[in-house]
Amino acid sequence: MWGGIGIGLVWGCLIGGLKGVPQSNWRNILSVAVGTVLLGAGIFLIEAWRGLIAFVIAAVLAWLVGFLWRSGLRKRFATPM
Amino acid sequence: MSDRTIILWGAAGFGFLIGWYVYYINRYRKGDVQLSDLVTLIGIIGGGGITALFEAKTAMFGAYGLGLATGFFSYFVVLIFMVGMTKNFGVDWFLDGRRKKVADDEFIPEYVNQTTSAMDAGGGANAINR
Repeated sequence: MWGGIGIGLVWGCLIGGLKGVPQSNWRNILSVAVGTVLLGAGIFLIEAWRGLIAFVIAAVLAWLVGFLWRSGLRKRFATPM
Repeated sequence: MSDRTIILWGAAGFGFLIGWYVYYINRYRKGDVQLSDLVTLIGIIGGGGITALFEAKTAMFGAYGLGLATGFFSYFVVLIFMVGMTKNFGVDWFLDGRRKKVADDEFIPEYVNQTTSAMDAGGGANAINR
């Protein structure tokens, strides 16, 4: 389970960071989908269902925290150029 | 310290190194998501697969995963620490990459990599004004 949590946290942060880079969206979505399936399959093989569920929850959580962190930081500190 | 403890610390340390490196790769990524990013992911799982070959595979994979997350976020914590220490960067750098101009008696060598985006959630500085 812990392996899934660790990898999920990292993966969630990576997904959250993709949004800011100007690029075509379909490529992002495809990369995220393929990466998630690969990681999910690998974790499922090693840690079974518990690991997979932990991976998904941790990834969503990390993505959410990253999103809130960025928007909160922007509201509080950002000064116009 | 027992052999098992050393093995678990070894797996965690291995994960830490890879986590640190993943942050580094993501930070200096050249804009678009590329195949190399997927190869990196496979490397992450591959690293976990190596630890799974050993006897206590679940515990080692867990230690690897925790080490991975710790290494990844440690890079970020060190970044926050260094930005706090210097006067050349402020918290705005995390949002839109803003920084002070290089002074007259300073220069940035050409071989130094530039980050593509700090922690921009879309729109950059213009989004702040909306």
